[in-house]
Amino acid sequence: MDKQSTPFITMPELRVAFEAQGYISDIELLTTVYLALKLEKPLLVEGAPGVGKTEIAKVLSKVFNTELIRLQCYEGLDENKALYEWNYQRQLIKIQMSRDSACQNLSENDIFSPEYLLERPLLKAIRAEKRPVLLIDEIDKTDEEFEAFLFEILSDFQISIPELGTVKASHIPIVVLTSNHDRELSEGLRRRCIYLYIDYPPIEKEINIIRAKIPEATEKLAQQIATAVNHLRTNLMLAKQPSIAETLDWTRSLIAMHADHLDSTLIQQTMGLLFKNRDDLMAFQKDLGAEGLCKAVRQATTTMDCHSDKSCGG
Amino acid sequence: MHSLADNLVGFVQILRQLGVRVSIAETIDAVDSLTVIEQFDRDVFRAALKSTLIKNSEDQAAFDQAFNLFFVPPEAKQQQREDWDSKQQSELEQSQQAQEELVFQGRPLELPDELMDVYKRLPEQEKKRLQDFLGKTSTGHNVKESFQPVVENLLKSSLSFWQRQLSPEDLAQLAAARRQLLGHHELDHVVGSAAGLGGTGRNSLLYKNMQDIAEHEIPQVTALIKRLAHRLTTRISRRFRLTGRRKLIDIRQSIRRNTRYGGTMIALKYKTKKIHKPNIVLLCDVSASMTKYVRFTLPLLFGLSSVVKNIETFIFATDLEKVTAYFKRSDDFAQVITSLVADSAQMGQGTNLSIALTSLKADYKQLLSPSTLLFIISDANTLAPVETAGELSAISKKVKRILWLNTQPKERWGQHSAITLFSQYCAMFECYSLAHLTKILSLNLTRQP
Repeated sequence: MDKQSTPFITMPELRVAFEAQGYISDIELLTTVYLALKLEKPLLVEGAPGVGKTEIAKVLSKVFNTELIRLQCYEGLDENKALYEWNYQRQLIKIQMSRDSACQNLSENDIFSPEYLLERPLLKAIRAEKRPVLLIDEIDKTDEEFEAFLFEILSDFQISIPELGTVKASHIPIVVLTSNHDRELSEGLRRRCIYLYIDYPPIEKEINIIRAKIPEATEKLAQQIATAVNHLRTNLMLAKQPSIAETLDWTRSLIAMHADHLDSTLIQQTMGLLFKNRDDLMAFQKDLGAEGLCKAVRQATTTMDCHSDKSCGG
Repeated sequence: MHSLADNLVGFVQILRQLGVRVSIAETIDAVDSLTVIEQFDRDVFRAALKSTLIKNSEDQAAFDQAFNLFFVPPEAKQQQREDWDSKQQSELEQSQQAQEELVFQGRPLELPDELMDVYKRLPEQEKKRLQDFLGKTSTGHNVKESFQPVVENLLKSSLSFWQRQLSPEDLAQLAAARRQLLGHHELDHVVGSAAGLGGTGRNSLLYKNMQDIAEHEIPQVTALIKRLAHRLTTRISRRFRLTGRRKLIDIRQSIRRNTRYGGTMIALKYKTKKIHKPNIVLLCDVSASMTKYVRFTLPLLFGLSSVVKNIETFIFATDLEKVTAYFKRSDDFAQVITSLVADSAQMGQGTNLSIALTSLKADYKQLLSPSTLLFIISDANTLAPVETAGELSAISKKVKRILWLNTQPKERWGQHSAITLFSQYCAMFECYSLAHLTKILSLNLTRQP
């Protein structure tokens, strides 16, 4: 393996690069990503949905200005879909054409050649000319056999295609695996990875995320939104807690409604952006409600200006 | 221990002692990570060790506790050692006192360490009551030396009763206190202190003991169970089956089919993945001893039944009762459970699993097939354990697997010979929290046949 393929980046540079991409990170996240890059090991990122796991891979591809190759995992995913497939239809057509034409001396090598090879994400990552970012998203959705197959490839970074021979990676891809902890991953996979757990952010960090991603959001609105979402996560028993992605969607829609602060009417009108199932919506209405949330935000953000009787910042 | 490498090795040993699995490869990664980090800031150092040594979220709290206790200035370390020594001294004195108090005719009683620990934690009046009993028995008429085993058994029964009153958290603390130490003074105080600090607290409901689940948390519990159970319904097998729809070309079948056309591929055959749907039979113990777990078991029955289609649900105590129909009627958990509790004759009765299994075998033998997963949710406190083991043995040959979710903490299993007996015929798991259930479902139920 070509150790020189490691992109040279220092920790401060990585911090600046992440900030430039609008990804607000802490020292633990930066150190972990930095170590994965330096030690050339896959980075396994776990955490609740919507906390920014996949985003790390996207940011890395932008930071290194390289291709992001994504393998979206799902139940039943197999080697054919992840690695390579022969284009059987084309091969059959070729065989048929050779029969019909005068030239009938078609050899096996003619139809098992690279032009009939359908490259899937893993092979694509290995054959890439520039060190790519390989995102193996939601690895916990696959079954154990596929996981075992995968970590062998991730160790050796080479693939054996019986008809063509061994394809060895010229550059070890930057590998990011994500998991929502749907299934327990094997010890073998975990051992091969550098591990990062991303939890829901504290209020201050979420304010920074909102401000970085949506600069139009005022400081006050960002603070109220972050406080409200944090209150929902910590005080309501929800099946699906609002993620950062949902916080951002909520902020964007509030801005689209020309809001500069939260009030109960706005919350009532937009709560569909925060709650994605009926039970959670019912639980919110029953246990807290828009007024209750507004009151909670008001208590938590006492320094804010009061704009109206219903204003959460009042 | 002075060098960084020594400290790192010591730290890894502490983590292992706290139940975190750290391999040699991971230790080497940790050392490597320290050679590549540029600034030697404490937070960076912590993050480097955490990302290389800790590979799942559950172990993060143990890491933080151990790190905060181990990587401290020498003065703080000295203070910790002194506190630890004094705690150890106090434990030793308590043990000696317990040994002196639990005597029969001047001879110390032979009691297991875990029961001695229970004795040390008893209220004073209860200790006094036991001491009075021993005193009176020792001086009774015609009481001979040979009576000692009888007295010991009585004491064991009494202390076992008190042990059963302890919550799993208290039991876990007792187990932590008995944790085997490394024999290295500098490391042991960290192991001892970190072990006493308790769990993660990340998702309280997930780690909460089922018997402590509150009424208002039941919908959340049910939703979580439904989500876990969902994977059972749609498990996609790695095996293929033929399909009429355009999926993957089945080369073998296509060639066979087209030999009649001289090898010209006129009719292509396609294949797709099989969807594996296990038959599930659920047996839930609703006897008196299981009453405290009802807040978990009933949502479990409801959750699994509403998600998994081919499931048959039974409750049992003195006999078996089929309750599948209750869960097909309505989406309302409260309504289902109210009618179930009102109609059932099994709720709160004594347990005889042997009779329940005999009924299952005789009346519902069509349910026991090689594709059946049989779940038993019970604390394994049953009459006729030998007969029960016999029935389990017979049924285990008919079904794919028997999975026993035992609500008793594993620390207590050793005291029930029946559990060892039953474990021969089924896979038995400690299951008194949703975290346990998640792990069991994740590791065992979603496996391919």
